[in-house]
This record gives sequence, C-alpha cells and structure tokens, in this order.
Amino acid sequence: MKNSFSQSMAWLHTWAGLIVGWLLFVIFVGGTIACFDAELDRWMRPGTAAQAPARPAVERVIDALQKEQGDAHAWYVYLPTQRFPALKGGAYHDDGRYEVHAYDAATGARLQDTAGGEFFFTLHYNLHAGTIGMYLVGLAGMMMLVAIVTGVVVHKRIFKDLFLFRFRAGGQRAWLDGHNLTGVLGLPFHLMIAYTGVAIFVASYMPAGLRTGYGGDAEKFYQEVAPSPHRQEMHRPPPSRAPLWPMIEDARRRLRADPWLVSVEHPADASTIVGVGLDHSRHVAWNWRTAYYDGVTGASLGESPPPGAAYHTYNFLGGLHMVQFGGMAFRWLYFALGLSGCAMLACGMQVWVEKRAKQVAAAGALSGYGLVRALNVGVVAGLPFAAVSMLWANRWLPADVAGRGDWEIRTFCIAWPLAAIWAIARLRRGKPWRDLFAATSMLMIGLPFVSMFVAERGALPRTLADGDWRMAMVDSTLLALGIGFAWLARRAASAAARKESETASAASEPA
Amino acid sequence: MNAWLFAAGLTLFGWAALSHAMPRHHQEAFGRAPDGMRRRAHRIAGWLALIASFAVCTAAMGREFGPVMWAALLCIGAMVWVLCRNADPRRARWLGWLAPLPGLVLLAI
Repeated sequence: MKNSFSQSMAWLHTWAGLIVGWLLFVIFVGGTIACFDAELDRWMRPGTAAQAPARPAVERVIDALQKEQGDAHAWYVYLPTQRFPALKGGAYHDDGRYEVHAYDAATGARLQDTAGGEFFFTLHYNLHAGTIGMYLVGLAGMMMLVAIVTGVVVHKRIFKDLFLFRFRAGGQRAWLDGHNLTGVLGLPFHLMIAYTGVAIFVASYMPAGLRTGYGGDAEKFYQEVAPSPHRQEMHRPPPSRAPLWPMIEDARRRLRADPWLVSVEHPADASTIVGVGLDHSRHVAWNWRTAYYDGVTGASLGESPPPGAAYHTYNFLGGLHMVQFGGMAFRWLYFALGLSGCAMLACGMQVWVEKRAKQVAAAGALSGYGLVRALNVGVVAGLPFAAVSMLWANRWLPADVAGRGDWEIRTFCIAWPLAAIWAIARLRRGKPWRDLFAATSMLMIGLPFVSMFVAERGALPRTLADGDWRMAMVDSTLLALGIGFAWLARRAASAAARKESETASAASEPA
Repeated sequence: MNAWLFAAGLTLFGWAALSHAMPRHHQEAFGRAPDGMRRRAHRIAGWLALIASFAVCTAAMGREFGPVMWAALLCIGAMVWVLCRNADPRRARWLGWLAPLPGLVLLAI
C-alpha cells in the first residue's frame, strides 16, 4: 500500500511538474526580474534625475492627462519615490485599456517611453494574455503547490540528504541533486510564493463565495471589503478642478506618511473624486489607506477605514508575495530565492530527460521526448536570451521612435521564437545549449559597455561617479549574470562533449 | 545592515554546524568519523546559531520584518553553505566558523 502510494505520488510529481514546468519557468523568470521592476523602469529611461524635488510637478501631469486622456474612466498619478524618482501618469479607460507614461519630477516633461520592468511584472502574472493568462498562471501556481507537496512525499531522504550535492557526479545524479537542493532548501520560499501568488487572485479563481454571498455582484463585495466614497455621475463636465498639491499635503498629515498614489475618478464628470494613498513600503501587508477629496472643491471626504481581519490577511499575503516592504535587502533576498526557483525548475525538467536518456536517444525528433527536449532548450535557454535582447533594443532604438515600448516588446517576441527554433534545429547535431547560453552571456556582458556609447547618461561610469548605486547595480547585476551564463555555457559544452564520446550518436544535452 | 550581515553569518554558521553533526559530512570535513559528544556539540551549536539569528533579525527589524528576513536568510544560507561545502569541505569549515564575525565586528564598532 505504502509503496503504491509513494509511486502514485512520484507519478503525480513527475507529470504535474513537467506539464506546467515551462510555464512556471516563464513565471519565475518574470517574477525574479520584477523584484527590481521600478529600478529597471528607471534604467530603461537613461538620464532620469536621481533626485526628485520636494514639490514635484503634478499639475503638469494632470495637464497632460487632461489633454491626451480626457475621456478616461480614471487617472492615476504616481508620485516620485526613492526607487523611481520621477512622476508617472496613467489613464484607465472603460474598455480596460491602461496607458501610462513617465514624466520628469521637476519639469513635468514627458520621459522616454519603455516597456520597462512593468513588462516582466505583467508577464509574471498574466503572460500579457489578459484574463485567460491570469487563469493559466493560477493553474500553474496550483499545480506547483501539488508538485511541492508530492515532491516532499517522494523525497525519502529529505533530511539525510539535506546538505548533499554531488555536483561532479554528472548526468542524472547532478541534475537530481541540483533539483533537490534548490527545491528542499528553498521549500519555505517556494511554498510561500506559490500559495500567496494564487491567493492574490483568489476572488477570480474561487468565485463560489462571491456567488453565494453576494449574488455574483463583485462591486458589492469590493465595497463591503474596502469601502470607498462613490458618487453617481452628474453627466456634466466639472466647472473647475481643485489643485492637487494641497490635497496631497493634507493627506500627508492625515495618513502620517508620504503619499504615493493619487487617483482621479471620472475626471470628465462634475462628480469627480480624488483619492490620495500611500505606498506599501512600511508594512508587509499592502496599505490601501486613502484620503478622499472632492475633485471640484478640494473639500475632504474622509478616509478609508482600516481593513477588517479577513481583508488584512489578504493584504498580508499579497504584500508578502510582492515584497514592496522593507527596502532593497528584502528585494535582493527575493531575487536570489527567485533565481534558485528558476534553477529548481530547469534542473527538474532536465531530470525528466536524463531519466529517460535511452528512450530519448532511441526516439526521433518528432516524438514526445523530442518535444520535451525542444521545449526545455527553447524555454530555459531561449527566455533569458529574449529578455536580454529586449534590453539591447532599449539601448539601440532611436530616442524619438514612436511606440518605443512596443518595439522593445516586439524584439522580445521575435528573439524568443527565433532562438528557440534555431536551438531545436541544432538539437540533434550541435550544441544549442552551449550556443544560446554563450550568446546570452555575451549580450549581458556587452550591454553595460554598449550603454557607455549609446546611453552615456545611464551608463556605469556616470552612475558610479554620481554615486547612483541603484542604477550601477542594474549594470553590475547584468555583468554578474553574464559571467554566470558563461559558466553555464562552458559546462554545457563539456557535458555535450562527454556525451558525444560516450555514445556514437550525436545526442547532446548539458549535464 | 550590520545586523543583517550578522544574522546571515549566523545562519551559515548554524547550517555548517548542523551538517558537521552528520557522520558523512563530518568525515568529509575533518577526515574522521565523529564520536557522540562531537555530534551532539555540533548539533546544539547549529540550532543555537539559527535561533540566535532569529533573535538578531527580530531585534533589529522588528516582529513584522524580522521573521520574514530570517526565513529568507535561512533558505539562502543553507544553499550557500551546501555549494561551498560541496566545492571544498575542508576549507568551507572556516567559512562556517568565521561567517558571523564580519557582522559582529561591524555591530561592535
């Protein structure tokens, strides 16, 4: 009985892990990069001032929104922070469209557009595929929870082998140890991140409570959980607009912290309401406390009440996932743990191939085994290549090209399939792992040097001289990752060579 | 920042001691099998270091951020230790023993 139980758990772990493994890898890479989304947003706009004035030019942003996005459902103005010392202005439209641009904090001049770190954040939670993507990611997260629990069950020597990593053993042994090492020692993180990640969209994934308790009326549910003043539209334009800065100053006093997010609800209607809220840096839990004002008169409409116990729990889980709290140290730790998660997934999928090495060698390219190998190299080696290609596009695209951010995304979307198709074509005779890793490494190491010529104001010599450590950190992280990928390429090459000498067949796979 | 470094060092020390409490890893690190006393001493030292690192985190960062920091440091400390121990078990001993020192020195001055 016990034997059949652990066998069925092993089966579940193998297949639950394999089916969503590639998707999870994309989600993990996106999430790991998104730890530094604001830093990347700034890095991709070289020359953004490192310091914002105490009195940023919010009116200029409102003017721009008024001119370009007058018919929006809501405007959002993001005040400068230490992480992103510029203004952002976004417009949310009734059809779900959200357009956001960055503005210089002192002058209000519009900064260069970029897909930015935001691109990886969106990739992380909905694959840029809207509601369907969100459900796919949720499904992958739930499968990850299944893989975690079954993984613990099937790992019989979990404590005995806690510190074991037979790295030089090669072949399946090293991959399995690598999978176990990052999986077991990172287990608290993986469990937390998968659970809280799924929990963030719990109202969408598990709508039964909303259906029975609120008759499916989501609006009613959200009003009860987090009440905010709501006014019927008056269907006439506002006679005037109250200045924002006094409201921001007043909110600073009321909420006893620096405001971050200013929202203007139906700005084209006389019923317009302004909300001024804080950022999420002071507590693990998200802080949605907001002070409300009449958008026409500027009169205070009170503050949002503190969250109830259930909503606070939800905010805590979401906050724990998104690591907006506690500063750079926490972001670095999450980044490192995210990388370990990527390694865990990559090793795990490689174990699947190594375990079936004989069948893989016997099977043709057009087989299930061929498909798994193709997806492995296409996703695991292809995605980092596409991500760094996108950063190259950011540096090379002309400053005045229209839709700059879209062109960055296009580069990503072209580089990835190209790399994957090329790698798959080379899979049977060639060393695609080595080649892709080496190319990624060269692009990563080359980028800080390219920046010196094409984006001098955002390049390493300038940022170091100015003591702008956050921007210097992005370049040095690229260099460090580039060295890491060079090492991976070398290892992939020697493994492929060893395998070639072992078998007469031309199968090549890194070990 | 210094407390952070100290807590990180303590997790390395703790994981090192806990791994040395296991005969297989003791053999690799010291070249001989441990007796019961040594195993117990390593195990107690390891647990104490991990608990101390929790205390340092919560004392420095409060009850809200401290435990989160500690949990993250535990995971990363364990991975770093396994990688170092795997690379060179004998020299890695010194890393384990000396890891808490930089943070401690910075805290003291």
